[in-house]
Amino acid sequence: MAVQNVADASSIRTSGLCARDAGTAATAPGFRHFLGTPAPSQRFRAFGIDPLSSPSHHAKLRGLMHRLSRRMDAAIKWPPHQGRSAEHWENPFIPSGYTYLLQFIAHDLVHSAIPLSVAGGLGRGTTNARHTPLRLETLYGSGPVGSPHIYALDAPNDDRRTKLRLGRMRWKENEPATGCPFRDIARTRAENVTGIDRSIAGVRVALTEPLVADPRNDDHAVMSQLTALFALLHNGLVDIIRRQEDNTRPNGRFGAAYKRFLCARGALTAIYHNILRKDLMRRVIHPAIYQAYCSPNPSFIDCPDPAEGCAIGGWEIPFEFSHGAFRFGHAMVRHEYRINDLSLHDLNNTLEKSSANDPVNMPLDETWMVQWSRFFEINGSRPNLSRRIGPYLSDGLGNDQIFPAFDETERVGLLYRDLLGAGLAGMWSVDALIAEIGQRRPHFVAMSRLLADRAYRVSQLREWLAAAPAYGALSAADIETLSNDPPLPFFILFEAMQQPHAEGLHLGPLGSIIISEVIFGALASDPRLADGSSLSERMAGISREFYPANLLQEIPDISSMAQLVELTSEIAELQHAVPAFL
Amino acid sequence: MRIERLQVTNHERWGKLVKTWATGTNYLEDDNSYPIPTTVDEFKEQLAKAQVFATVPDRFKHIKFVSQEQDTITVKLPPKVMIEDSEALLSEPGSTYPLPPFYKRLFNGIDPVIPEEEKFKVHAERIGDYTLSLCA
Repeated sequence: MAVQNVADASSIRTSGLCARDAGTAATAPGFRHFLGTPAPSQRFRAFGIDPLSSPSHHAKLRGLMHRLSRRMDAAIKWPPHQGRSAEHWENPFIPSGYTYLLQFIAHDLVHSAIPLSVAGGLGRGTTNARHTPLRLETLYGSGPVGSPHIYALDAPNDDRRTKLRLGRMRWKENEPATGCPFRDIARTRAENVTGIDRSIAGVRVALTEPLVADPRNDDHAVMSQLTALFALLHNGLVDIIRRQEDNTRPNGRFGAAYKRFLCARGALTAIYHNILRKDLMRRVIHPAIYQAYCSPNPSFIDCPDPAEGCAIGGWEIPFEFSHGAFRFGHAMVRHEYRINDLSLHDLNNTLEKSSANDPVNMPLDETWMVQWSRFFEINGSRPNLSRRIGPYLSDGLGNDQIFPAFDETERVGLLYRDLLGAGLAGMWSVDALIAEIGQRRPHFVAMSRLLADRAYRVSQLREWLAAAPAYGALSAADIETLSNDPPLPFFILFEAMQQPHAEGLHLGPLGSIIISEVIFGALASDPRLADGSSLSERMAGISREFYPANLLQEIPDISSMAQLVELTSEIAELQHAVPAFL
Repeated sequence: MRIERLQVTNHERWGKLVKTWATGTNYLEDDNSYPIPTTVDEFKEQLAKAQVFATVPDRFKHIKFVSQEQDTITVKLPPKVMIEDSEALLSEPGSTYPLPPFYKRLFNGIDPVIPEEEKFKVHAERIGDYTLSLCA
């Protein structure tokens, strides 16, 4: 049945490579479209009208996305799962640390000045400035020379900068005389630079400025703690390399600093890539799609220029990833987090904890020091679990202080922004995208009735949209247009929920294909990964780029976030840290 | 296992919804109507309409609205099990007394710190206050 209906799905006009020429779609620097720019007839439409070519129609689009976002306020009644000790809405296979690793990755793939939803259209500041994907630019910025403010002096007698800055945490009540440990990201005051003082005179200094490469890595407390984790590991790698350096030659210190930094950065990037490939993607991607992409040299269907292969020069992010499929991480956010043995914080508190939102309560105090066994499964720990993936977001993401209304709908929250941004980006319609993928990889589409059988897909969407009339008050016309032409980020969540055997525990095939193409594609562009060598072989190769011997020999094979945390705890000597690190 | 509490995201909207139920005047200034809910499902629907974004634990099966009169002392007794649960929580080493985020605004933006030795005092004071203040 499913195989037969691939033809139905493919009966929509497919573009092949000529679609790129046929499109009149506006775009934004640093962005492109998945599988080429869709022709106007292949783009998402609301009430049959293409929002990209009809700006006068935007008010109707906003109204529709507003009502759809309200439909998605209805909690999902999840079927039971195998995790007996987990709540029905929790995903026993994806601890919450991965939710924020996904956010970190998003920052390492996309960096634009203003959300498309708030800008109201393409070309209004929505440029993606990230051109080397997944190379940890979000952590390292432009390196010690280009971004010196995020690097610390190496030692009192060495003014090179190879380590990332960290800042002292704070104890809520009693500050120790010896100073608190460096467990927070670095933060500083700026009243003497800006003339604006948000401090409370005589009581607290406002630390308004996070000293990080990417300010989004201080979006909230868990994000800044994850950034500090990566910085701690980088700094530990620097120490390992420094111990083995031979810098007795003249001018040794000068050259050694650059080699040390580049070697440590190369090592951390290799570990990061190994984790993305073997840990994160294995958890979130549909198993059959993961199998198709997890080898070192998979066959990609989304090469922007087939003549050049999938090389990274002039790299651009597909809207269908950044404004479509990858928004699924928002559905994994919990309403509260057990941060460590002593503290439980709700999502509202968590989202507020940043230098931008809460500068007088910075640095983070002990109640925000993440104990990583609460976020990844380490030695049998029971971490916070992410939410199952579906068309519903935690209530805290409706916070009207952090995500205020910005247009005539008066709709607050993150969800409406996701849906509206997708509607304004001129993305492929779900139907046309499935048809296009079906042309190139028929077996991918055939594995899913939801993808292969259009009539079934529409009926399932229609049924769900109509099932909770008190939420959103969708009209018959709303349901008709949304079931026939669903916005991509909504469909990716719906697919994850609806897919047999997935049921919110991982993505469905369509979401998995888009994400695999982009993330495995970015990984494949790293020449160090192309030969399929093991992590230890790659480490040896990285070291030999700078040193005659393998200075990274003592680094074990790290292929999961749990192992990364354990390694960091060891080399940063945090096994017995207070507050607990592990 | 800690007993889950009803968590409100947008406290001002929640307060306006309560005022709307109490007075019949729409304080939310939107096009929705907010009759007093008779079921938990209706309650959740109205929370969504008002964009309160509250997490309502599954343990709640029923809802009861109590309209108070000026000449009647209404003492709403919290469930014994909830008091015991919060006392157990506060007894854990290092635990802090949780306060809604808007209190911070009243403390000049500084996260309020309830000292260890004051936790149970403040717990009793707040229970007493909410029981008698007629929510107004």
